[in-house]
Amino acid sequence: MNGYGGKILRIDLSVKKSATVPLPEDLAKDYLGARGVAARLLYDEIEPGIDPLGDKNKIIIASGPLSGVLVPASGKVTFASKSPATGGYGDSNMGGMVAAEMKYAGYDVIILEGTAAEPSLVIIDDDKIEFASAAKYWGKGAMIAEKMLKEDLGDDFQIVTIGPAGEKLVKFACVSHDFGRQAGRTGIGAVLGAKRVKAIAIRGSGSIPLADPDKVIAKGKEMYDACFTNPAAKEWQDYGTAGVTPWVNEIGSFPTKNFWTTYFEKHQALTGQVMRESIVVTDKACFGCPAPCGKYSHAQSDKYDVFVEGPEYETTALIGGNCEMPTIEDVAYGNYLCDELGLDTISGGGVVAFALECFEKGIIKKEEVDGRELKFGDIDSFKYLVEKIAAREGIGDLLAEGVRTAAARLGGGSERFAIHIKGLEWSGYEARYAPAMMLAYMTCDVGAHHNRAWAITHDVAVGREEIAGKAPKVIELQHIRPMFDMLGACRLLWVEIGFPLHHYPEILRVITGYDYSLEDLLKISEKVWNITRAFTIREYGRFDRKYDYPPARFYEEPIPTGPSKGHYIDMDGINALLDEYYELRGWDNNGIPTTAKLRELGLDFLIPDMEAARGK
Amino acid sequence: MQYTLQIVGHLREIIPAADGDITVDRPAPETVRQILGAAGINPDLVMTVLVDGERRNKEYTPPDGATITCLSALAGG
Repeated sequence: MNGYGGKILRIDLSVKKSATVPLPEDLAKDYLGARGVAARLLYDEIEPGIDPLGDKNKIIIASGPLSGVLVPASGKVTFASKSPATGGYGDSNMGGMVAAEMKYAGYDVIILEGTAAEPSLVIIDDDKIEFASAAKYWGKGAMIAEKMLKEDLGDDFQIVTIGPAGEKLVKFACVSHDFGRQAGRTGIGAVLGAKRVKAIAIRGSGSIPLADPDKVIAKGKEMYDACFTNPAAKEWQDYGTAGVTPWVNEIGSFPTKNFWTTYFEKHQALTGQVMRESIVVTDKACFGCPAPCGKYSHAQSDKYDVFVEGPEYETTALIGGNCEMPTIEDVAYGNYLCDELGLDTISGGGVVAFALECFEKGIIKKEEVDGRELKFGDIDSFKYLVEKIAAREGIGDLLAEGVRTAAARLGGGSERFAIHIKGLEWSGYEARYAPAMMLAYMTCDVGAHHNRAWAITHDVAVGREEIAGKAPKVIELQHIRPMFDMLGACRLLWVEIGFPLHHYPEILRVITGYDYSLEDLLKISEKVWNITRAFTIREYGRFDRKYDYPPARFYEEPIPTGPSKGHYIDMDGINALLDEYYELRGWDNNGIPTTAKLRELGLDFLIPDMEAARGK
Repeated sequence: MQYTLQIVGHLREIIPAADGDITVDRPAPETVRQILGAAGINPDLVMTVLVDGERRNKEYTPPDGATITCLSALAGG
């Protein structure tokens, strides 16, 4: 199969056995790869109602047809599982080198099943699959463990690790790789921890068959040239995602003080420019990327002296604005703590901010935090809380469940401060004055995450007061962005420098021989969107639109300060957004895909489950 | 005063006239924000401004003949 490693590697951790089967060509043709293939396999293989941290959950690690080929930014790998954070469909992807290495070892998909009897390493060296004790690495930080494994196994292995938070089953633990890249969202690190897998090491020495190698080289060169000559590339490389911080404040959408407001008075201390001048040591790129947006930084103060990859914008938003850190150094140190502990910085920042507000309001008492005075803007408070969370000690054990569960158990009105959708903490764009972005968050298939449809510029372009007419753009973006995830490519070149979409069906054609148009690819993306929605509906059982609602703060509290002061979207507006969206999607009034829509998409296998959900 | 607006990235989709460079004539020196407004471009859509290749804020007043590169907002991390 051109463009693919050609095999699925299935690993049963319970009995330390592995087996390979050929990647079915129909699966590749119908779902392309990575997120698409993972979503279909997960739907087929996960028994409904299982415990996400139990023996029956699976982790699907999947590359795409562009992974490992000399195509700009073709370094994305997807990790998918039933999410311990949401109880629904979960996936997260990361850059780095794993996707390419998997392909060179011959695997498009790696499926982890069962549970190891003891902390384990899985070592994949081409066809040789070994299991080893991870006793030496268990309890170590994610990056420390990666360094140790590089020293022990060889630098040419690509390493995936979890930190102590994953080992302790923190619901927002992440998967780490390449000293600072993470599959951060939906708690896949906790699933690895539940399976007692500290690390996966992969080395491949093979190659990838191509439909037309000469045309791949020519098309790849054309794409690289288009990147190198793009006027936006230098700006993007200089500042990476952190370059957006001033703009998000300028338009009043920056998460600040647990999403109490949307403008951070001290944001000028957290900009990409300040970061570049004060802490960045060098740029860092993922596989095949001509525009290295990763920043390797050195943060120092009288309390710390650390190196870290980042902070990315999201980290700056959630640890910076949302926890009100006054300096980029403090944000970078918070980033370092989360990375080493193996915590998603988005959920981590959200959970800490939730705890700080609960403390401020007297819901969390001083005696519950070792007599400490917890404060926004205080790196010591942040450090105390994330270390407690990762160790599941004291209040940390409660917070390790995420804000939805923590609020339900704490009570006292704390539900209002739990900023999430479906249990996933909100990422870096406050949407009370951005209806399209609000809709994108509400309908994102993994919970409150921005990366499926970053629609906020659409709000600015067509009017931030407007509610009607926002759904078509959100749906369009929800098909375009996940398309990159299926291909195994990074969407950021398209987002940041306006890299044209027509390149992608063209490069896919010469790599695989599949003659898909852009419209064909987006139709596949729509199919996958419906599968991941159906997965969550099947898990939740009695699904209705309330699962898509944002937290009450967003539809009841006007923004109190900054450029967006006074704005919010009331419940009528929230429902109007969903009504339009559901209708255009072909979903019913509760957000469940209709039989007609599923038939149109060729997803008949979902119909019985969706009919059952409709009848409940 | 004559300025050249160079629109980059997704702004090209939002601003139909941005397929090529846009020439803006103004009777007197103006800030980048004012020049964008005169060209019918919502300044909030522009994340970063480069004036003759140098990063500037939207309150900067470019010299006559300047090329103003407008970068669209991004998302990631």
